[in-house]
Amino acid sequence: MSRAEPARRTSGAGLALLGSELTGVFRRRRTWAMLLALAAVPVLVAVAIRISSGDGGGPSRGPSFVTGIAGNGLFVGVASLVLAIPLFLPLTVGVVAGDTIAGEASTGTLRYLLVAPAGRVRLLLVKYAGAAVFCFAAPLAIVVAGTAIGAVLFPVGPITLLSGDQVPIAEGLGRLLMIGLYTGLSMLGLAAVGLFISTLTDVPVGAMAATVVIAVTSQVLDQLPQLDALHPFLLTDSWLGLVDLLRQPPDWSVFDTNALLQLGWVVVFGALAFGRFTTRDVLA
Amino acid sequence: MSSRLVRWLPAALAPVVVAGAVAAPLVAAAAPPSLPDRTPQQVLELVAKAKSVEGFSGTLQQTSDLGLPELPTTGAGTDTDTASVLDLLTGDHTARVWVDGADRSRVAVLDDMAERDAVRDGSSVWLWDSKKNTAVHVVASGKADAAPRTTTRTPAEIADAVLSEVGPTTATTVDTTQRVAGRDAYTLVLTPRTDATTVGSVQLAVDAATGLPLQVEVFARGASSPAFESGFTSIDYSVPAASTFDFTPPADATVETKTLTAGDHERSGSKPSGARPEVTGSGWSAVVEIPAGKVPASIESNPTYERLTTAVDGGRVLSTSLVNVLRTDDGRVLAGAVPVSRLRAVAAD
Repeated sequence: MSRAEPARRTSGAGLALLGSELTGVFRRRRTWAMLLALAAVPVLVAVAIRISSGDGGGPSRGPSFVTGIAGNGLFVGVASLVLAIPLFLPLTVGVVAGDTIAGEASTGTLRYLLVAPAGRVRLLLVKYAGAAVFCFAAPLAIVVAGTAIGAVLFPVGPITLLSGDQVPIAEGLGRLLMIGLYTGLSMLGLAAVGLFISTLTDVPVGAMAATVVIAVTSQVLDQLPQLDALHPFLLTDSWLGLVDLLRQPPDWSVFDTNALLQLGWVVVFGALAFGRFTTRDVLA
Repeated sequence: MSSRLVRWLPAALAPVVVAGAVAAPLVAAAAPPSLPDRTPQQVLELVAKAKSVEGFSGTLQQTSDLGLPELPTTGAGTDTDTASVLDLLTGDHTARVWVDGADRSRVAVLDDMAERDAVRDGSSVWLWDSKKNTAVHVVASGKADAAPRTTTRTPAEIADAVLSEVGPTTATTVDTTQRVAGRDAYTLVLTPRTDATTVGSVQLAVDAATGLPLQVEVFARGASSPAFESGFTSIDYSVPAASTFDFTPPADATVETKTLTAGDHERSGSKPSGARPEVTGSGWSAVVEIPAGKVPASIESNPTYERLTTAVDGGRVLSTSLVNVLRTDDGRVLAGAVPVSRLRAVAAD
């Protein structure tokens, strides 16, 4: 981001700013390192199951589609996604979202960005858009890597859904894509929270850590039966709703529920970020 | 300074807007819809008419608050079989239901990362459990109606069971209308005429247009929130696609086939015939007594048994807000929707 040319920054067009932001995010080694680490999850899972399935296989544990991998490689992507959702995925989203404003502030580039006539609001929007694109890239990296490694190491065939019905490979791949998009959608709220926290500080690591802590705390609260009434409104409540896309017929309503939930969080924390970012004194 | 405050305005308004968006449908749903007045008899006729509903699909939600302790489902000392049976009765469940006519239906109980299905197409029934990867194919031959009890019953089934109780034992009234699953509904209230039962009232929400019972709530005596509730959260009256009722088990699943013939019932009834459950009283306050020996003594060594029951004079009691079960020290089991004191009185007789 700091490498973007001044001429571009002062161009004023939001699209140009967005383009430079996206290039910035995806030119960073850190971003690629995180995407590669995420893609390594399914590779690890697949290799581990490939090795262990040789010795007869004891009583199976864990979600049935994790154990179903040995029979059908197409499950690797979904199983890895489910494994990554509680911590690994929010961790990477937290890093990107927490870095948005605080990262610029810590390297002293924020005030140059604000010299542009684009203004603070547009910068905030562009920063959020950059994080949002990463939200979708991260789960898709897992699904794509998982499906590829699964196809290499295991037999591939029609997918058995949780309902016991089987769908052909093409439809199965479509479902996997939808699951990746669903998970990307799930991360948008967290990215907004990260954006807000990032406006509060000049220390990007602090913003990243705080964002991840919020994701974990939300999941802990989601586990407490005493807080039943609160659960539908928790940031993380719909994260594992992706399994409903593995039923027959698929329950598309989870998409709407998830979208509304994430929209609520984006509106609240987007407004907070706006309030903070447009009133703060930018010294660095 | 004031312009700074203005910039914080969205942050102050956003939670209000979100809260409003959440609350608005709730408030709208809370307002009773205006429907022509009906007598209980007319509402019951409406329910009887619901048999002509050709098909529907919907999402069913069951919640219970019976006052049972939470059972651990993982960890040491877990007794998963007992826990899962109890869980079906006492836990919270969401199920998707598809019905086409009288003899084709599918119920899918949605579990975390898993699903249990019961698919019925005529005389063939598939029971599928994704966690165990097992499918049981039940084929009925002969005239026996082989529809096995599905794990979560639809309001129609529950209502039928409740309505068969209606009679001299129960007062039936119609309460204010309500909206259930986006449909205008009459509220039919069944109140036991005796106060010797733990059941305070049973409330049925009956779809004003189709007569289908959309929700059943069972209230314990004196309670303001239902102890057991099962109702649709969404419903669609179009006939589901025929493919919904086709079930082919996956190739790697364990498939078991059971054939039920009409004679099976008599054969399975050839157990110790002297030991039939004995019913004391009738209607709401009936107490069922299972003689000693019918309930295996091994239940005592079950870790869940200790956790669920409390010791009383002369036995142990499983107590919920609706149903009480007493196991006497001499091995008899008494159960009923009555207070524990009544169970002990019957046991002493």
